Amino acid sequence: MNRIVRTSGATGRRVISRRGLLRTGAALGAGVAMPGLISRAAWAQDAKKLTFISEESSPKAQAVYDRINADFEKETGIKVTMEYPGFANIAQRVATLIASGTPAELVWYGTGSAMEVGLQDQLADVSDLVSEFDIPDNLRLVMNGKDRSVATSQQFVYGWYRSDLYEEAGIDPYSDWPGYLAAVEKLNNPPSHYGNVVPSAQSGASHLLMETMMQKNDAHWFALNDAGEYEVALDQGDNFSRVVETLEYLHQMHQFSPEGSNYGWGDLMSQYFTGRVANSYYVGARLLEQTLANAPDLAPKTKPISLPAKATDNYYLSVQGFHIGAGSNEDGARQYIQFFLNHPAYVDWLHSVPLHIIPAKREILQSEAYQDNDVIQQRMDVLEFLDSIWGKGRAPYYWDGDKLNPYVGVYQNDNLGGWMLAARNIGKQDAESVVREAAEQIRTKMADLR
Amino acid sequence: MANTNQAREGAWISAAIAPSLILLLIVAYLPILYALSLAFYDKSAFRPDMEWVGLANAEWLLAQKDFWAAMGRSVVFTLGTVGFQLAFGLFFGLLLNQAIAGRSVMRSLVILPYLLPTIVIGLVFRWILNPEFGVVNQLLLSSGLIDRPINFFGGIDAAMPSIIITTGWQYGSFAVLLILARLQSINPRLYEAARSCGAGTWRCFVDVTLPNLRTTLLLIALLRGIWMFNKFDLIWIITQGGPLQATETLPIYIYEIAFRDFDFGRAAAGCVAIFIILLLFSFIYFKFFNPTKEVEVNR
Amino acid sequence: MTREFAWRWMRFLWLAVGMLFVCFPLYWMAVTALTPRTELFRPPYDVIRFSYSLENIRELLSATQFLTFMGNSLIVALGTVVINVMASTLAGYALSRFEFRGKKTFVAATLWTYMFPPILLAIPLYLVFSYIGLRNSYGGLILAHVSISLPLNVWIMWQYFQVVPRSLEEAAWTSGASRLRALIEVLLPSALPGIISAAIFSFALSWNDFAFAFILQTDIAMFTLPVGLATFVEQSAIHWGLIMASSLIVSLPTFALVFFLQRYLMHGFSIGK
Repeated sequence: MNRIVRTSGATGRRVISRRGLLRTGAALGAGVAMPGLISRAAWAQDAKKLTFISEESSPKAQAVYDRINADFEKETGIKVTMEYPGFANIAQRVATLIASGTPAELVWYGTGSAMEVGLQDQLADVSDLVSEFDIPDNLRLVMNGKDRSVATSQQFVYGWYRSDLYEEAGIDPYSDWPGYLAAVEKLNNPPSHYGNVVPSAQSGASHLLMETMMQKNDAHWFALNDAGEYEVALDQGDNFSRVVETLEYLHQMHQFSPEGSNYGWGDLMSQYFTGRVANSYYVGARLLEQTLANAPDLAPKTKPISLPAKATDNYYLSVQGFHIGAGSNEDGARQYIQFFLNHPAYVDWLHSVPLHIIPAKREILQSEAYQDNDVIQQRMDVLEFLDSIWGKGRAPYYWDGDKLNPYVGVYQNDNLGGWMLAARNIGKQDAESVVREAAEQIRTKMADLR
Repeated sequence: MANTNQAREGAWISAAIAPSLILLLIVAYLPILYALSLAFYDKSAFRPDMEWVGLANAEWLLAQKDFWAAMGRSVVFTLGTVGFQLAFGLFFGLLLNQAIAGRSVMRSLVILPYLLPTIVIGLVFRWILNPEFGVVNQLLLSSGLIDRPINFFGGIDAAMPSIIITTGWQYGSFAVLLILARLQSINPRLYEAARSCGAGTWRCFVDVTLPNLRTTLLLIALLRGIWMFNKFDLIWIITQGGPLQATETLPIYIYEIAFRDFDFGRAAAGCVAIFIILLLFSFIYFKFFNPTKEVEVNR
Repeated sequence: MTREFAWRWMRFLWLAVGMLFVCFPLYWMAVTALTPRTELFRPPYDVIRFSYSLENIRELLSATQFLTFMGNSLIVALGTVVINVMASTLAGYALSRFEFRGKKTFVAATLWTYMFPPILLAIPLYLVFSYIGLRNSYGGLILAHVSISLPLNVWIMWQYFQVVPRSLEEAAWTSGASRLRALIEVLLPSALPGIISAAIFSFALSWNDFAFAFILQTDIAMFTLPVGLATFVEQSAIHWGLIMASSLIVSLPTFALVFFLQRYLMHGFSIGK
């Protein structure tokens, strides 16, 4: 008797507990999911909202965005939500949003990163805006005949040097490769300070130095073949020896540099404004801004200069602009871009990092409104320098040929140039095998793409 | 009568388990299942859609030299940090278990790192171990122990040990906590008995302390082993897997597949790999030690 | 006698060395926080110093959103603690007092969550939370933090309830108390140290988390401290003074918390075998 009751009791208990669990679970699950589903449906149809991801996130830039956004909402009723994921993480944020089916309306960042998104057909056609604002040809990003980027600004990779140290040593600023090496050697005085800085890490700072110097030496990653297709040229023919020569040159320079095996952009600047190096470089003038903020006494002695030319005098060009996510609130985004570029505060936005965010058009650079800024007034020499190299910059995806090179991301996402410097300078691998290995890496990844 | 009792008990069980079960289902099990299922799809981070590819991602992953190299580094990192934490825990556990002036302040200081945000710890160590501005290098140089600054996180040979020590510094306190707690619950009569048999400090340690700590040490090794194998944030904040690939452990490698190559499918395959490794590890572990055994109540 | 004496001194020496290792980074963090920006990058530094400046702390409180970040962190951490304590206490109670099918699986399954890299758990959570509109909300981040802390807490509470003698609640039943009343009035007080351990553990995980907050909170007004701190690092040169100042401010209350609760902590974890 006892036994039977127990057995049935146990069964009953089990059933009840499971049923109870299921019932409670279903109710709670539905409770959690329902409002979400409804709000999502409402949100997807909302033409009165924009998500805007901006790479530039300095406090001054944020203040300008807030001003423009408030005016925009007043005029159109569209609310703009800003996101600042930061320089290092913006590509990740953009990708995650697309992958989850909720692309951001607007992304302001480098066209190189945007190209990756565009190749997957995830950027809206903005040809109309490009012609409306008359964007210069070398700043356009054209894919399958359609513009995918509204360029607002640009930067070049160029050098910064300590004029006081050059004067002390009685030497003139450099202009060619042997001259730069000689100057760096002469100015090298560790542990007080080093001649220059050659970051050797898989970082953007490192990569852009390698890529810039390759451009100066007319060395290429890719070349167009007879069929009009891009092929890896890194380890081919004369180009191979030019790449190896570039790598060897930077290896020599590295002997007069602090060991930058983990340097990113931040380290590059702090090495400079703390007086640890006589020569540095940057993509733009943020280095000057940081020097003004952290070591005001060094700022007047900080002068811009072209990195030394060899076979060419090309400048690595970095272009930034607005990009519209395909399938988002595209109309709202279009309105915003027009509103932004016509807003009087646009010039203030350019001033948020003075001389760093270089306007897309030369007229603006030369305009009174743009030059009406304390830092620019103090440093007209930088403005004149920028004006003197105007138009000499070439974006990486147009470096290997006139046709857009869709494979730039294959080596840029990995900062492969930085890897080459690290393998040569830190890993002590010989230059030829480093270049061959890099070429193989690109080929493997390309084979994977098709 | 019995049945209503049983029913009431059943209701109790469901009501008590349901919150945890449902929470874990929504925020852990289902998302994990979804992420694991991605391993069988070609899923680019740049596209909302995906395509079934079966085992192609796994095949690709297993053919990568970098994958196996990262696996090796993960094993080194896990063994290194878990070993360090156990040693750290024993060291402080034993020292702080005894009556000593200022014990509670010292205990708090030792436990503190565990409660500090990882990013704080990563940045603090980057700052004090910096080759140019770091105070540690300054002290080593001025004391004459070295004549060139050590590039702790930037040197190919120095990076992994430096990361291991930093991680140990942060998480060692977890071990201290568990070990201290366990030491305090050892019956003092056991020591008295050992002493009366003529055992010295060392024999007391070997015969009384260690056997009593056995389960605690095993539990720490299991939990920390799993956590350390998955450790991502501290390494990412400090070295991002560099210099070259000296600190690129499996989670870092997988993260790079996801967000440098923007390939979620292959990254998910990497997660499956980690999952299987840890599952095997804990299976073997449970087989031999079984720390889930219910505590015996003998009060 | 002399041997005893030598032992004691050796112990003291070891402890001093160990404490130096633990405390020096904390000490240097505090010193850096109180060093003005212009002196920061000017080694060699005086290791022991008596002149301090509040410049960094002032800048931190006036020019950054530090207080917002701190507030967000606190809200999320407290939410995580509350949910964790309630859910894990109930689950721990059921696990220790009843037999039911699937109990073993449930316990083992709690550990599975830890076998998945958290940073990659964040991706599906992001997709799910975007879908149900929980991104950039306290609720969403709290749920995410529960996913990493609840499993171990269920475990802790399960173990804890096992050492709370059944005779306690049985005594309450015989005096006519319902199961619920016995649980609340008799069991909970004796399980308090376990509950506090669970609370501190949840607090620590939430307070420390970078991975989830970084992916789920995209609006700067919703950033928690770790993500907010990362913005100080961002593209401009690393502002060490600000970073160390915020680290210092974060550490002080944490230290107080550990100092006053350590007795409970020790007791709670002692059951964790």
